[in-house]
Formats: sequence, structure tokens, C-alpha cells
Amino acid sequence: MNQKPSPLLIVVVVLIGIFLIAPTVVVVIMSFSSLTSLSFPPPDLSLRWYRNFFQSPEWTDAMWTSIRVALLATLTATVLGTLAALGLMRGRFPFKTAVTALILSPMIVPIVIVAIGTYIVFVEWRLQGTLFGFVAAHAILGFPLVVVNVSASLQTMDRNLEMAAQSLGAGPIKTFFRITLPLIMPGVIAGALFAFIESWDEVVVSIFLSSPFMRTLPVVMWTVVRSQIDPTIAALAGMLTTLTIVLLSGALLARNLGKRGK
Amino acid sequence: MAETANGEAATPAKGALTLDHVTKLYGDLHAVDDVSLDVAPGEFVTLLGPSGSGKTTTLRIIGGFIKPDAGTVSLDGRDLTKVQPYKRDIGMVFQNYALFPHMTAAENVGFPLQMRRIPKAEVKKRALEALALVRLEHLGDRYPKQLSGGQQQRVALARSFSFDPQLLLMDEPLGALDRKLREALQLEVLRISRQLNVTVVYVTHDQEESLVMSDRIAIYNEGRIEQIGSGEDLYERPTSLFVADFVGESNIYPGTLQAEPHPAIVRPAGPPVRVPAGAGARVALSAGDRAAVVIRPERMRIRQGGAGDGRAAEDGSVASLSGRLRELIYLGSDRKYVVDLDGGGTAVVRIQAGTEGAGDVLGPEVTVSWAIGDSVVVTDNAPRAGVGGATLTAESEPLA
Repeated sequence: MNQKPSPLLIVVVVLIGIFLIAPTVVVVIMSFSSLTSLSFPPPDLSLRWYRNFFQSPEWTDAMWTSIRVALLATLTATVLGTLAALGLMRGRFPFKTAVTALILSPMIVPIVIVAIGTYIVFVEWRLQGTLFGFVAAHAILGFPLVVVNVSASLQTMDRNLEMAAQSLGAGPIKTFFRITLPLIMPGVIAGALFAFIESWDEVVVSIFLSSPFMRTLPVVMWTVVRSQIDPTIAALAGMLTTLTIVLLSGALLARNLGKRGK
Repeated sequence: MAETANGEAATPAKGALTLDHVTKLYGDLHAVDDVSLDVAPGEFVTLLGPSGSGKTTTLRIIGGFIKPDAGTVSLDGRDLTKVQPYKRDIGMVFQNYALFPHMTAAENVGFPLQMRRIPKAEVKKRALEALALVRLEHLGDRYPKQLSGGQQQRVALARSFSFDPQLLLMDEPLGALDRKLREALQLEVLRISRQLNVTVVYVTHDQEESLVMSDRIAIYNEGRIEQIGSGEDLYERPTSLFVADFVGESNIYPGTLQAEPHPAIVRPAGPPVRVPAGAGARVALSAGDRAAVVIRPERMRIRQGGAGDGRAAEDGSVASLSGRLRELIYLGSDRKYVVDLDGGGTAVVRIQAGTEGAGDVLGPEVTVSWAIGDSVVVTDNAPRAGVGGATLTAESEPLA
């Protein structure tokens, strides 16, 4: 399998890569424009739209909301998702397949349906437009991502290790914190990063949950794009993309570390 | 009462294990079927059997990882049946080592001590002592993946006894190692278990390994202990066809036990085979019962020419069968003759090099013979398969 790939293959792969990345690159380049309209290529380079972003309370408020929601939702999803994965992989109980399907359903059901359902229930419960509402909804979306990643880690972990720990005198709790958790940590971290990205990028459910006082960054972007277009949004897009790339790389790195540890 | 590792005053050996009518069902399958076993303090007992015969399940029941459906497990008179595994104080070694990959060798060995809330300094000291016993004190800082397979298994061994358990369970601990290393570690495990004066229950499917290490061997078959005894007991005096077949190489001739005019096994084909008087009674068989006669290949002799009739013998103490030589296999220390017997069946004869006539060219007509006193009658509990004959077990031990 070590033979060199053919030149044709290389060309095709590079073209596909360009096709996928070019729009993002164009947007990022436009964000450095000195003009008030989106233009490509920009005649002059400037950072004014980045300055504009950080000087506008509308944007910065939304950014802080996004950060708070994403961190809390990630924490919730990670703790619950790890516990759920443990239960699914280690436990023996009836209707396990059905429970698994239910847990993964937020990934399968169309997001608009989730959004409308969440909206109706949360209005009823007076959670619409609250921090708790956002965190709860986003945690549910991130939850299956954590379950999938942690389950994969648990699957590759040698169960004899847990048995060995018990034979050596570690009860279930100690076994979990001293043996299981450290060994599945790459999966937990990967799951947490995916959950964070899910919340950070989420727009559909957030639109339904948002109020004028409680809006996440993607909601504001959506609102702004519909009324006015200036390069601020491109500047923001550039920053969000960078952050996502960093987090995603982290998640993939964590996964690989987990695999290499075997 | 041997001395302990540190040379402290001799303490009475602890670790008397008793299994009392232990049964474990998986659906309709009797994974472990009414197993009773008494292991004396300091004894090394091996559970030997083919895969799926229930030996590992038994070990895990002793360790507390599987709850038996019936029966009790007790250690030094304390009923453990309902005790959680982490409260049993039983050391365990696994085939794949099961070392914690995120801890160094010393941390692995110290883990059980840490769990017992022993002060840090003492944990370190005792971990190093345990590592010294397996001659790895210089590698305490290495992580498992920086150690070779043999070293990893030594660390696992040190971890299993660092907290002074009364009982060590070992589940095919050497199965993943190559032959040379396995043989070296067999002696090492034996040395350490003697030195610690600890009771060991050892699971393997390698009969050679079990012979090297064990005080007693329990032969497992389909969830039951078929026979338990010393290696010599099992080899020289098997009680069932399964044991005779499983332990060592055998010539086995199944048939029906007859008492008159003289004790013999009447085979479905071929002449009957004389057996010692009272041989059936030893395994509680009487005339007319299904039985088999077992003769080890090294107890047989072979000579040129035919006319053995199976009954007649020069002085009534030797049995013989005639046949045609099929193969002569040179094994260095031994020569092995494979003979197709007249009337069906096979005989395998092993002649040690240096024995008179060992190098003679024989055949095609040959006669095999043996002292009747060297043959053993066993119960025939195997499903009857065609015409009876010799069962040839593999020459070397079965490998994983």
C-alpha cells in the first residue's frame, strides 16, 4: 500500500480541496477590506471591520452570551454524555437499542423540528430567551456527540483493566476515576470539543430561543446579514472559522492520541 | 510452614479455598456444572481443559467477577459468595497482562497498596520490593508499553501479590508469550509462589505447563471437573477416556468390559485386549459396561513379525496385537512407530533412543506388546465414534 499516488489523483484531490476551502478563504480576505462593501479582491487592506466588531455592543454582547452558553452546554453535555456512554457500554438493561436510538436522535431528527419542538415546550415552561433554556437546548444537541466519542473510547478500552483494578481493591467509583476516566479521556475531550462547536455554531434552535436580550453570535449574524451587509460579518466569520479549526484540530488530535495509546 | 519473603517468623499458611457445588448457567449451557474443589493453603492447583470447558469461568467466580447461580466460594472459612471482588483480597493475573497503561510499572504495582490507604512512602517501598522479587526493580519508572511482553507479565505478577493476598488467581498468564520465555516464566512463577507461600489457582490449556507447575491438576470437561490429582495420577491412572486422551499421548481402545474368562476389553472390531484384574473396579465399572483400555506409547514394545492374538501371551502377563507398520517417525530422543492394527485401530509406540533394537528396521508385519499391568481401564464417556482405535493426540502441547 506504499505505492505513490498517481499525478492525476493528486490534481483531483487538490482541486476538490480548493473547491471546499476557497469560499472561506475569500470571505476571510474580504474581511481585511478597507471598503464598506464586500468586494473581492479588496483594493486596500485594513483591520477596521475587526475594530468595528469589538466596538459594537450588539456584537460583543452576543459573543459573551455565546461563550457562556457554549461552555455551560459543553459541561452539561460532557458529564451526562460520558455517564450515558458508560451505561450503554457497560450496563445490561432491557430496551438498550431503543435507548441508544433515543440518545442519538438529536443527531438524526431535522434540526428545524427540534427547534420548533423546543420552542413550544420552552415557551410553555418560560425558558425561552433564558440562559438556562439556551444551555439546556444546546446540551441536548451536544449530548449525542459526547456519547458517540466516549463510547468509541470505551469500546477500545480493555475491560480486563477494570476487572484488574477491582481485584486490586478499587471499588467501582475509584476504578472509574483512577482507571477508566484517564483512559477514555481522549474520547471525553474530543466529545467535549465537538459539543462546544455544536453550540458555538448552532443557529436554527438559537433563533427560536432568542429574545432581544439574549442572542448568541450566530443569531445576530443571521439577523444582520438579512438587513445590511458590511465586512464586519466577514471579520467575524474569519474569527469563528479560526476558532472552529483550532477546536476541531484539538478534537481530532485527542482522538488520535487515544488510538495511539493502545 | 515456610518462611515469608522477608524472612520473618514463619506464619501458618493461609489461603484455604473451598468451592462447594458451584454452578453457573448461561441460558441452558452449564458453563460451570456442580464444581467442588478444596485447595490447601500454599497449594498450586491448575485448572486444565480445552477452551470453553469452564475453567476461566470458575476462576472468575472465585475472583468475584461472575456470580454463581448455585454453590458457595469460601476462603479460610469465610464465605465470599456475596462479597464484592474489590473486598476479596485475591490477586489476579490476566493473559493480556492488564497493566494500567497510564501508570509506570512501580505505580501499577503500588496501586493495590494505594487502594488500601497505605502511606505513600511505604507504598513506594513495598512496590519496589515486589518488583525486586520479579527482578525488575530497575525498570520501575517505565511505562508498560516501554516493556517487553515478558517484563509486562512480571510487573503484572508483582502487582498481583504486592498487597500480600492469600490467594493468587492466574488466567493463562503466559499464553501470549513465546515458548522459551514461557518456560522461563513458569519456573519464575513457581519460585515466587513458593517463596510467598501463597495459594495459587492457575488456568491453562497447556498440559505441559500444568505438569511443570502444579501440585494438583483439575481436568475440566464441559463445565465439570473430570478428574483431579497430581500430574502422575492423571498420566498413570486416568479414570476417564477424556482425561487419558487429554493428558499426554495415548493408545486408547474402547469397547465393553468383560470379566470371564479373563478381564478384557471386547472391541467392536479386532481381538479383545486383556486388562489387569480389578482394573474395572478401580473406576467402578463392572462387566458389560462401556469402557476403554489405555496404554501409553512409551509402555509399548514393538517387534518384527505377526501372530499376536491379543489374549495369548507368553506368560499371561503380556498383551500383544499384530498389525502393519505405517510410519516410523524420528524424534531425536525417541522413535515413534505408528502401526495399523489388524482388525482396525492404531497403535503408537515410542521407543527411546539407546534402547536395545531401537534402530532396527521393522515391517511391514509387526507385533506390539505391553505388560498388562501397564494398561489402565477408564470409563468411556465420549460419544461413540465409529470403530474404536487409538486416539492420537498432538505430539507437542497445544498452542494458543
